[in-house]
Amino acid sequence: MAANTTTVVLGGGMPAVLEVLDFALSRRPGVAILGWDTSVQGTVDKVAARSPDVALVCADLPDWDGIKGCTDIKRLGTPTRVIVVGSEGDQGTLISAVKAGADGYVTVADSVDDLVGALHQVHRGESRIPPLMLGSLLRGLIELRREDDAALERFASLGNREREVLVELVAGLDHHTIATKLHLSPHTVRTHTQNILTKLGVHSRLEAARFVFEHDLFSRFGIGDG
Amino acid sequence: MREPMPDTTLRPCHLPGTRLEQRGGRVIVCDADGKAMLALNESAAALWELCDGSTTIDEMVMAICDVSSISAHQARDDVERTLAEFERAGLLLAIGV
Repeated sequence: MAANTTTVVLGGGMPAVLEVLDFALSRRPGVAILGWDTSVQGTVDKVAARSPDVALVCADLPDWDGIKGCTDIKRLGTPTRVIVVGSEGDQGTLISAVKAGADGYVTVADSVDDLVGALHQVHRGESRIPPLMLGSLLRGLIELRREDDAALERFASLGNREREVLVELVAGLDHHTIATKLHLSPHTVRTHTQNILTKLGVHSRLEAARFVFEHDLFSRFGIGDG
Repeated sequence: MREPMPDTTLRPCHLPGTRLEQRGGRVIVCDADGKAMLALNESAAALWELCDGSTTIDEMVMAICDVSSISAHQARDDVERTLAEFERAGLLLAIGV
């Protein structure tokens, strides 16, 4: 394999699309396709086994969770870089891809030449974001960070006892069970619960649980099983 | 002489009436009368969009780090250099970058 060749594994839910991509990219100098797969696990396994320079994965499709694929490939801890192929202007998918660790994003409207350029660019260690989506991507990431900072601030305002009760609420225990477990009266647990909901700015224990998981609060504060 | 460090909690804001336009494949900052003031590359154009008076320089730097492989130090240098260019071109309300 020539030193300046970019090796690639393809992943996506539609075999026909992958075959076309394989056909088109294999004929370009400097690109070598090492394989493709239509399942997320199969794609991750191929990346683990073949160590491509770049994994090119389609964004979410029916029966194909491309963002999970990106996340799982990044979790391998290998040097393989990831490009997600999504729709033009699909800001939500672009943000999800970046949060999942994607090194690049190309759109289905891009030409094969653009795709080849993106593969080499990402292989060189650069990132690749569609220029017209960059401004709104940065804005979206800033908004997310602000929401996250606000969530951390709200969680930090909980007292130790409230955090203990929240752990049990998130685990699905009722007030009586929590009271027994924490040696409190049910009335006190109810009071703590109301205070927790108010401080977190949510209206139910379900919302509280979602809030905790969305912001990964237990892990970040070293609480419970994380 | 070393220039003073800018306050990274400042929120740069472009001059009222200025806007981005695409002309002949280039992105241009124009004044209220449509007069071209500065041509921008893609990164600078994205940064320009963030100069709305609500985003701090720190937030700009962190967002750029999220989408690129460059270090926070490099991102900060890039952001400050670009903002200084905007300011020299008279495109920002004074921020002292």
